[in-house]
Amino acid sequence: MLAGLWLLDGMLKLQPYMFTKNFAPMTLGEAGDGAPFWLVDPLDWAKRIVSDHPVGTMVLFALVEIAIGMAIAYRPTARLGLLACLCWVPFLWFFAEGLGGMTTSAAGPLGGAPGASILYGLLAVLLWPTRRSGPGVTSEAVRFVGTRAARIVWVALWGLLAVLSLLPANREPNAVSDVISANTDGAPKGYAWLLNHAASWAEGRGAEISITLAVLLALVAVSVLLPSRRAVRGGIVLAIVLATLLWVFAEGFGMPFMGMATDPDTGPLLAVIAIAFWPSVPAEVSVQEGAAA
Amino acid sequence: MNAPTWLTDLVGMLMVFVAGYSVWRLVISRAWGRATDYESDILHVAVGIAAAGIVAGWAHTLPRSVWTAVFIAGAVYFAVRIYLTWSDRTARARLLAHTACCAVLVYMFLANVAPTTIHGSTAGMYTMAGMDGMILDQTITYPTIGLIFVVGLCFYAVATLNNIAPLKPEDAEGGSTLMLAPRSVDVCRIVIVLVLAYAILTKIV
Repeated sequence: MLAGLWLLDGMLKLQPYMFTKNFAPMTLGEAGDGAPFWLVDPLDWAKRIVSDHPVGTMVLFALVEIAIGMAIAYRPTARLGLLACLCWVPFLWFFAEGLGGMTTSAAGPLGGAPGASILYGLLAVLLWPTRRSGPGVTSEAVRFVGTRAARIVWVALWGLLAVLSLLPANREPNAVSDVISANTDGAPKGYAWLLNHAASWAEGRGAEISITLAVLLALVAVSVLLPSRRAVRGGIVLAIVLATLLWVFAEGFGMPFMGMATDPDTGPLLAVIAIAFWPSVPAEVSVQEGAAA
Repeated sequence: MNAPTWLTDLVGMLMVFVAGYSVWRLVISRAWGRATDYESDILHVAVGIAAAGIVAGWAHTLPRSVWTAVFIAGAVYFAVRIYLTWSDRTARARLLAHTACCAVLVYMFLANVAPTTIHGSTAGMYTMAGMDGMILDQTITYPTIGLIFVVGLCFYAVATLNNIAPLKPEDAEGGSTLMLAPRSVDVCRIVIVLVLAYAILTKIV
């Protein structure tokens, strides 16, 4: 899954728009909106380089990401691919995403915080290939980092999203409807109709929606700490549902309909992280079930 | 907007190479009396030539209607083969992939995925999307289906790569050319799949 997403990212960067001089100011320029001065300067520097050499830089970006995807997919080079991913992610997160908009007052899950790149890095660590097994390995996410670290990651990630939802900018009456409306440009008719209806429904309800979202995200965050396996699964299902809703309504599937998308955005990555935490059936239980069958 | 000319030329040449390599495999397997998957090789020849023409104008061969008919026939043939070999899981998966490949190409020909209509390239220029003065290229019909295919093609490429067995030292000792042959078919398949995804993406503007 991670390899496929990297490959898709790389392929998207080969779209004609990426090679024009508009790409840098339009896409990278947006990353600097509302960012502090210490971030704006390096972003401007990166923007200038991409703007001056759009073909060379974008081909390089695309090839790096395609190579990362391929390396992760091919078993003998999977570790190398994940390592390359971990090296590439900070660069991408800082210069291309402006730290995922986390330094702005409007940072929030609807705006794609904490940034797709950092989630790629997180997945690379969580899914690092290892032969570790045993009763402590309750899901794929804990196999390498261990249960405690995996839980910390989960609580921090979903808890952060919950807190960001409550920021004043995200509680503005039209904060949610504006985000949804922004995705209608170039969208297919049926999808634009859905977004328009959702936007008109959300108009003036920014505070209610953001607070509800924050509560649901907080529930997801704590679900992994519950002793019941059923509750953990419930939390993960809720996480997948929320990630899907964010992807469809707030992120517009990464807005690929006008040939300007550089990645599918955070929705699919949040869902993949959630799936990685899905509790596996303990070996004894599966043996018993097999015998009963 | 369109892609840099050198990039589309390179991708076109890559497809011609894949087609040529598959022809070479067909010829050499007969001459050397080696077993090969004729269906995959023949499909790769057809897809290689067709895809080269889709990406680069200089590689144009048959009219689009003829290619559409060829790949519809191919899809029907592979669908029938799936039905006949339903019990064989390995063959079924391979034939299903061939059918899907033919279906993607049929879509591409019907949706007007074609070489750029712009003289030269817009790469490195200011061409504001959706604004006056934008240099328009011919776009495709049903872009949503195209995007779904792009996602499917990327994940199929990854799955194929994931299933390629790593090269073992004993394989190389027995004659690397012969042992590499089945893997090279998979590599050709991955290259084709990525080029098809690229061709669709270049027309979503």
